[in-house]
Amino acid sequence: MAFITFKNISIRGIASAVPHQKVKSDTLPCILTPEEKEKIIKSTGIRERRFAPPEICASDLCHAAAEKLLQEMKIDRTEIDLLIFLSQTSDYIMPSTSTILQHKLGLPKTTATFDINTGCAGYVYGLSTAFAYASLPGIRNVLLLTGDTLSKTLSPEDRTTYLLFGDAGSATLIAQSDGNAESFFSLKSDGAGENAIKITAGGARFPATADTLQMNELGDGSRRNKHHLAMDGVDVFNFTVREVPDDIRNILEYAKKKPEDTDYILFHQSNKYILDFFSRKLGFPSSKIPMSLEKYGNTSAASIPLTLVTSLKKEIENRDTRVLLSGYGAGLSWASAFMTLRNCHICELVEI
Amino acid sequence: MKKQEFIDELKKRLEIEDTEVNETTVFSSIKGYDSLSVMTLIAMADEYFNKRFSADQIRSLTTVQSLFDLIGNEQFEK
Repeated sequence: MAFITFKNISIRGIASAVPHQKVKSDTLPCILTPEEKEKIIKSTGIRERRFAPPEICASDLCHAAAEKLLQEMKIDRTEIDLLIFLSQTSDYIMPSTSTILQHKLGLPKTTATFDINTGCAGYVYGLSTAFAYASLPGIRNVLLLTGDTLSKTLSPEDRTTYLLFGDAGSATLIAQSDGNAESFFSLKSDGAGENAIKITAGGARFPATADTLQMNELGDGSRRNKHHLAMDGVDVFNFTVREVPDDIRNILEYAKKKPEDTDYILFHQSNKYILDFFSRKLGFPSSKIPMSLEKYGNTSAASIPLTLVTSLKKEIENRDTRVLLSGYGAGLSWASAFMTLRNCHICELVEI
Repeated sequence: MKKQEFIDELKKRLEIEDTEVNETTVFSSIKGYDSLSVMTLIAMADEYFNKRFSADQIRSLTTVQSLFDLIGNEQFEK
């Protein structure tokens, strides 16, 4: 299966939350020289990010976003039939964070809950799952929460990752609606890229030991332990160039749409260099490619909803907005979707 | 595109216009050559020749000529 079509399912509302603590790239102490830092800031476009304090997890960011959304939209919580929490920085190995959030949000026991472990392709993957459940009779509302606190997984001595990732959470409400346009999804995977973006230890394969906490020296002068996020920047870039433009062309062809039929493309916010590449390669003007990475960095599976909230609130609330969504990252996984946002409520950004 | 034009565009994107670069130049010997530079090569090969590579092919790059071989020497104008 490569392509799915949904009819009469819509996103009713979106909210995003970030920690209030700002971290500026140019003044952040790290092992890079000022020249090296400036080069990275210039090519990634990431000038500032938000880092969560120790007591705030991704689930807290998602909780804040969900409260904002449910209160503003005056949603009857007894009508939420499914809660999905999508993250790679869950509260615990066990139980699932979605169940904890069911309780914190005061949802009824009739709410189904499960977690999904997916990275930067996660918002589109999560939406496809939410849409699938929402299209079943008996499912009234699905609440999709996506978020990560990747700042907690970074080694300050890692030249590749330390200036890239920021924290954010989001809440998206999905339900059936009448007279809505169709939406289209494509979901892909390639486990050969297992090592491209990885946190090696802390799971069942390599449980935590004194050894996994040791800092190891890497070829480029970086140091990290086996619990730190490790990324092969070149491999990831190469994969993105190889797969994403075709994926977008394919979803447009499947949906029988042309680039002119798209108002905006929401890319996962990895870095400006690759987004500019997509712009050139696909022929989409940069005015159609909103970004949140300058102020929030790479926020993993929350990056697309964060960008929608911080860049397109007015546009989405005032008219039907045709959007193409594209996520790509750890797995390797990548996914794209085309849909029309209609009567979609966008909350102002929450800061906690 | 001619090979020299490719080299000129590469020098421009890597901001090394003053550096001497030809087919025999070893990439890793270029001053300031880093992972961003490799990404520039990948982007250029795709933009100009629609050529994409596996991770292993990227890792196998040594000289400028090795990149031309990967792209395919016949792709360039004489």
